[in-house]
Amino acid sequence: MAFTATTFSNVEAAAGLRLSLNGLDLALIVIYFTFVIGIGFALRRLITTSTDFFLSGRSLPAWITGIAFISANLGAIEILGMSASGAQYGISIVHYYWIGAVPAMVFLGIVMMPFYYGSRVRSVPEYLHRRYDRKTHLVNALIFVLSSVLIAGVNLYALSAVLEALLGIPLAAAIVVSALFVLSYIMLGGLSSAIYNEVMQFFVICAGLIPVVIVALKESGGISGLFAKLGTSGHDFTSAWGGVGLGGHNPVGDWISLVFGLSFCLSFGYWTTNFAEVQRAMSAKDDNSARLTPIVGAFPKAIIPLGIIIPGMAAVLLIPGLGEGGGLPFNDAIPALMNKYLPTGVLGVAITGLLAAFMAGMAANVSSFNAVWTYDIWQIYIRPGRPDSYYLRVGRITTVVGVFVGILTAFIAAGYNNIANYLQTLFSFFNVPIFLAFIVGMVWRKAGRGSGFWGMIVGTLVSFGTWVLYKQGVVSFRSDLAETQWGAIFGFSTGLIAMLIATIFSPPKPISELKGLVLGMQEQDVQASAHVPLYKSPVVLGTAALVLCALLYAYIAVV
Amino acid sequence: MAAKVELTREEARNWRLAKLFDLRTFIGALFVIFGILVTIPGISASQDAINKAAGINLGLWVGVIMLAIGVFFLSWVLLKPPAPVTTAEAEAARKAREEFGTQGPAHH
Repeated sequence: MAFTATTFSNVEAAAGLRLSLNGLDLALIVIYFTFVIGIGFALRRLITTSTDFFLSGRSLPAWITGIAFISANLGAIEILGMSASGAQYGISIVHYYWIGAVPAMVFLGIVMMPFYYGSRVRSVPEYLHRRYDRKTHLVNALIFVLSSVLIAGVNLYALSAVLEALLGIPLAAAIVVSALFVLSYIMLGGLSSAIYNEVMQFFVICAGLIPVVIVALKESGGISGLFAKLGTSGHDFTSAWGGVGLGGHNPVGDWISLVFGLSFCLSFGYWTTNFAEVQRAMSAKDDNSARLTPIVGAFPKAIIPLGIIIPGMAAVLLIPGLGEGGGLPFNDAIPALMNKYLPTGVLGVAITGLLAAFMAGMAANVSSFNAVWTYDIWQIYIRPGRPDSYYLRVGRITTVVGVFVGILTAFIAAGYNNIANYLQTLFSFFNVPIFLAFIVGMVWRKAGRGSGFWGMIVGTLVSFGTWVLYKQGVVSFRSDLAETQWGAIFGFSTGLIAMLIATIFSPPKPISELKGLVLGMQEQDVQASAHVPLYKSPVVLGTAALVLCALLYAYIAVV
Repeated sequence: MAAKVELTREEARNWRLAKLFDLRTFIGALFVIFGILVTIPGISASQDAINKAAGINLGLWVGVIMLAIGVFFLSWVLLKPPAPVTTAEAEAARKAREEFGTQGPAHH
């Protein structure tokens, strides 16, 4: 064992992480969750006074809405998953940020947002419904429901893993306890307090994460010292672009799969069609703010890997046995570092931040599952035309069902030593085909009515088939991550062919129905964007975000 | 606010609540409490605690910085409170949100 629990001698915990918190740390956790529940009650009271509490949100500057945009995504994926990937694959994981998320967010802000905002659609499924047909809408809604319960399971697993380390109870029990906890939190606080919690949690997680980064770097002699010590630990562990040639050994992928798979298919697919992310930007007060929201979020997004991937790599050095048989799984990299280095009080803040982040992630997925299931599936295809109170009741029941399905999917996530790999696998199945239907429908006005449906079906099946063949050992890739990238490329290109064939057999939509939905016919709010000062221009700020990524690449190459 | 708006008693009460329940109030209060609780063990940090964190007195640093952030958010909400909202405006915004918000996509 790398570290010893100070308060308990836990023989059983040989395979698991055991956090050593004292009374003060636990008190901080209790205070935080008292706040969360208090906010739920407070906001409920405001609703009864019929004052619009969201208006006070409108007085917040764009940088706060940008933070909300980022923290909607800063859950288990980032903190456990990406640090686990840093520990497993090394510095090349920064590609997921610097050629992945950041360019995708800039693309969303500059190119896609005018379509969303101008066409007045309220959700991704609605866009596909108007652009294609009912079948496309149904298959999109079903794919979304499936992926959100699977991702809710990842968050639930992460929450349970921390709880397991906190209380020393078996993982299965921790999963059930966490699920009941999240359920009561959603029922009590509702969606409004979830948004408050998202922003609060961002500050708390920073207060816990930044000290870990500083101490881990000091222990390993700065970034240059860390890279020097890790330079011997394998192929291209400390070089982002080393070994990306087709015959190379970079564990993340080769340049084709990085540029087309990771960047174009996976990252653009995730950031431009993700329900939760896009809706946050769409709720902005005007056209330019909506475009700026993802771009403002791109700046912290570019910095975040330094606080997540670098400590993950440092954990390889500082937590002996990480990721090896008998040692801790890669997922435990960050909690183990926190436990080893943070003193009383600071440790409590850090663990609070982790718990809050995972709970927020779970709550976000359950509530979006809920919305799509109730309004896009139940109301349209199963029981249409009932009064609003009926659907409200369906929504409540769906929340309970969603949490319990989440328990089952949490056990799937628990089977992965590195949850980031699992998530990228899910994204390659689900997000890429949706992105395909979206982007083709947007740029090619002749794409037929039924082509979106066939593109999504074929794309999903091919991505899934690639993964099955890889797991059966029929085809091989250099790593699990490289499989997700190639799976995404295969899914995208075969789906594209399916769309072309389907277009031959199904008539294009009349031009009158495509208004605002297709390139060249978008309805832009020109007046709002025309006279913005330079520092509020989406193009200028977006370019600055891309330049920042290039500088960061240069920095880690020379350090 | 440029134009002074006459508020009814109920609107004034709602405005007080809106200030109290502003997100910045919550973040400020939480960070002040956390800051104090983390600073206290930091002031009297044992050598063991300092050694644990690679020779840095993390409790003191993190505690004081959190306290400062908390004070910043509280003074922000005091110096720049949310604008008062009349019942008519709130009603209009609520309607707009109902149409745009949780009702899901409108289908044709």
